[in-house]
Amino acid sequence: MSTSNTLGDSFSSVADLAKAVRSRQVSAVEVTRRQLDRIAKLDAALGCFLAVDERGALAAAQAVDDQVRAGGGDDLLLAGVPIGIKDMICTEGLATTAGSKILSGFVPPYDATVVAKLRAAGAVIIGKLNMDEFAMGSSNENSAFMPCKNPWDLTRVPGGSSGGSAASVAASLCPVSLGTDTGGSIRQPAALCGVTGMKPTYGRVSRYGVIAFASSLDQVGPLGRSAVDVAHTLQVIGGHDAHDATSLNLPQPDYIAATESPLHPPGRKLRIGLPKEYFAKGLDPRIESCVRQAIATLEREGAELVEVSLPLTQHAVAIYYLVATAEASSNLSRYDGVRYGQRVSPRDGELQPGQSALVEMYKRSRAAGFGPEVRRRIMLGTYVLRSGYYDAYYRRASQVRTLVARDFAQAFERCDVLMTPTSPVLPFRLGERTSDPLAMYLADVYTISCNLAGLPGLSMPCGFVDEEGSGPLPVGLQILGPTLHDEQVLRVAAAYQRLTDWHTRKPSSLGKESV
Amino acid sequence: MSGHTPSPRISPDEIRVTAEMARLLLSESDIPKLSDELSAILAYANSLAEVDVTNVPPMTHAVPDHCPLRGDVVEPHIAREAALRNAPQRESAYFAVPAVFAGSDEGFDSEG
Repeated sequence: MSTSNTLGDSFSSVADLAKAVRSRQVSAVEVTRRQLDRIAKLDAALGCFLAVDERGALAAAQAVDDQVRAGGGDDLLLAGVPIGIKDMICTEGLATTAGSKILSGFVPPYDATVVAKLRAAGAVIIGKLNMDEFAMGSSNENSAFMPCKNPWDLTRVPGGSSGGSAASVAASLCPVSLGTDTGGSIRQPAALCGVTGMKPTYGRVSRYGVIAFASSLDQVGPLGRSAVDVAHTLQVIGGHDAHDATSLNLPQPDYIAATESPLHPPGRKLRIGLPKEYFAKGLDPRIESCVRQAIATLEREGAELVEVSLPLTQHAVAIYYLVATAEASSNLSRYDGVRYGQRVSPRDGELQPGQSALVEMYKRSRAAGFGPEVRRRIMLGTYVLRSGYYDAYYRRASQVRTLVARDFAQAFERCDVLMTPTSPVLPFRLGERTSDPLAMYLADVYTISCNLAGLPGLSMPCGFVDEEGSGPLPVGLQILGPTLHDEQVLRVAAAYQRLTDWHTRKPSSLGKESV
Repeated sequence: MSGHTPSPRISPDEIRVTAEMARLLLSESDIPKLSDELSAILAYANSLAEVDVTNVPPMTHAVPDHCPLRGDVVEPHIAREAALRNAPQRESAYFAVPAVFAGSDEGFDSEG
């Protein structure tokens, strides 16, 4: 065994780890204990976890060991694999807050389908991961509880909203995690933390038990060290779920087999589309250089490059902020202090004549429970859904959204996948970009269209930039595929990772701090 | 198609009306800031008015044809006690809320 800090680190993939647990080469309890130790040692500085479920994790690990010892467990794809869950996803008996004060203390009475599937596959839920409140943000700075730090530089953000999901994998606090992605919330933090993260085609993964932000855009997906690990996790959490009316009733592709397949499709060369709108003004030239080198690597392997155009890209952020806020304002109306969460009632004498104590309770509970970004988006969403504005805003945005999807469909007639930068900017410093919400929104330009069109998208590291005073900072390459071709995206990502070793790099400063 | 041209500027009064609809208690000092921020975002979003959307259907799902509804049959569901466990306030088997009618001191009410 190596000298690394966690047993999870001693295995090159979660599949190897699960295999070792199934063959009793190592016990799930030991893996879990080491993982908990590392979290205890490092997470105070990182802020990845909002809750660590030591007792539940050890009990789950023990159950896996018992099952294996009794001669079972052969089909447990993630036997004994520790996994962190974004706090947007309900876990029975384990507090779930969505990063919001309004849900502090909320303990879900049931598991999200994805969590139930993970447990059934032998995965060990190790804790709940930090995030921007209700997944609204791109830096994790909107968490109501604490910021999460980028393991490559603790003065920088990990991205968001699934900041904890990406940072925890980068810091080896868990080998894989789940995030949610509404406008880039898996891919952008994956890019900023140097890990692999995937948003599947809309409908591939159940949203049942996942706290809703923007229902027509939200999708759950895995983050891990490699496309192979992501594929294994996706294989477990994906598939049709009768409890989610948007869940696709289609056979699930073999994601794992896809990661073992060659780069090129049978009988011809892979065609990579490069949308010119994604290599435009505002892109950090150092990021562009890493992304172009990654593409050149695949070109040397025989891939053909095709320039494509997605002219509606310029409208993507506008569509997103109308659609997402409108849907959020409706989804978040359920937080009213009645059935769960925080309640703030008007004090004696505070009620004006004619005011309803009930309505005033709603207003106070919501004002006290929601942070500024969530309030801003609820306000915008409520405004655009107001009578008389619906057609001009939500309906029009949803129509332009159709055109965005058609743009992509047209581009995919000429190529198999698209490759772009994931984020136009490197991980920025905490506090650096909080003052201007619109500027923060505009940085999501490369990730948003994928959600609008419902496409599968993945981000993985494709290089590092040495930033003055920071050391190396990771750069993300985004791969987008046609609707329902998730396995194609994973195939190309895994092929790239067989050719390169960017995805194996780990932040060095953390290694030194630990034993 | 609506003939309504949205106002490029959301006035403080519009913010107050919207906050009432959103059931958010805003402090007076929040209002001018929200008025500025929302106006800026909507001014940016007005670029969508340039796009021709004649006969374009709105989109809500990438693959809408494969989402069957499940059968209308009773399935096991969360037990009442489990559903009530997170309630900030309850009375017997109900969620309790402040009295809805003035002068009423009942803890909860059926349908307002």
